[in-house]
Amino acid sequence: MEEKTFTDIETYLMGRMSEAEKSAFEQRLQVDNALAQEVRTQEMLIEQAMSLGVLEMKQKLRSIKKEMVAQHQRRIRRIVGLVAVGVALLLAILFFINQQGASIQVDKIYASHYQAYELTFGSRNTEELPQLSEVGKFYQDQSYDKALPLIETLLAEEPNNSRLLLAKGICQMELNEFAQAKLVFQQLIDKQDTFYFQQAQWYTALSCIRLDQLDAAKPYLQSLAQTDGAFKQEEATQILSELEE
Amino acid sequence: MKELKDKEIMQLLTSPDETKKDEALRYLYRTLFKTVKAYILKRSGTEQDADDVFQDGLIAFYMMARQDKLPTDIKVEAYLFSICRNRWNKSIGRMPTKIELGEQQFAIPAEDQQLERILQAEKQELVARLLNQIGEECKKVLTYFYFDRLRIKQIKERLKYSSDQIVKNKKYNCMKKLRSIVQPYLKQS
Repeated sequence: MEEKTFTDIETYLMGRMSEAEKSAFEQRLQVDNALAQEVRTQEMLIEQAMSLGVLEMKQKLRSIKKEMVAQHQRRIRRIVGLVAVGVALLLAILFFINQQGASIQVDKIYASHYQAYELTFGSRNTEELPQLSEVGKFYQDQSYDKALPLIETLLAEEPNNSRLLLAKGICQMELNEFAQAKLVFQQLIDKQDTFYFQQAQWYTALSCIRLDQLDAAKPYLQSLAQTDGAFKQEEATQILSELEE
Repeated sequence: MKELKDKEIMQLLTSPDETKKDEALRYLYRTLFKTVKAYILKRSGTEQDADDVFQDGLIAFYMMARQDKLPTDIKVEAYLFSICRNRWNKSIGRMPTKIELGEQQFAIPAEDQQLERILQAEKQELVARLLNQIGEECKKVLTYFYFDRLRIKQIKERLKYSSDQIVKNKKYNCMKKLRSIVQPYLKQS
């Protein structure tokens, strides 16, 4: 087929002929069977050529869709991430508030019930233990940091002295050494001390409260609360009810 | 995403600039696919049906735009939606009806048979064979001329040929090549 005929058919099929050209071409088609056949063939070829474009555009649209889905997933992941961070932050804030609240409550209980035990030294055996009066002076003056080393020196000589042990524990509590104080009071509890057993229980319970070991404090408080006429019986009962709230 | 007016969409879609055309396609996909998908899913279609119908509908719309077969001053999204709705209803055996969109009524566009044949041809083995045999350059020349309806001058610029005549010769030779590939299938049918 000549290139001119090819171009004429193409122009006709693509609707690019003027009305006059189109009319003349269609008249030719009515009498020229070979031309009419060629038009049909070329029309089909153009359709095939166009279907190449369709295929290419389909691929393009599929990748647009993929891109949209990926963007959507990224957005969802970002939202989920933000929500997770928000929830974690909220939980952290709630936990902090809760901890603060609990800590405030513990501090309040401790502050309203703790009082250093009144002890006097030096009234007896001053000749044997001359440093006792000095301990008594520091203790009375609430100079616990000065009293403690002296008490320890005296305890080295007299390790089972109940009054000194109690004084040591109180000094340690005053100096915020609650864990060490507990160990000292435990010695008095273990030996079922005749004079200071209940005091040791009471100060152990308070040390536990200050260390936020509320469950550990409860048995000591319960023991005091259930013993008629016990040291700090009423206060022990009160703290127990405060801890239950 | 910036909202585009109908005129802007049509200008982008029919632009010889490939990037602008892609921008219009992306815009239409983002703005209209959800609506078409909702329509199809409500009528027992699947997500895959929605993809197929929307993509075919968008290609049909593109070809009609390139061939100046669309009425002037159309509402692009409403018109494209009606094409997709028509295609879906046809595929499930419902007769096309007049539909109402907003305050305006649109007759469902009568997509011509040629357009339908071209869309269906894409699914045939022949096209896949053509793609393998015709070569990348011929594929581009033929696609730009017949599918995108670009002018010879525009193809020359896009493919960086030195003259219009080279493009014309290339197109003629590619059509001859296409004929030789398709000929055996013509004899079979």
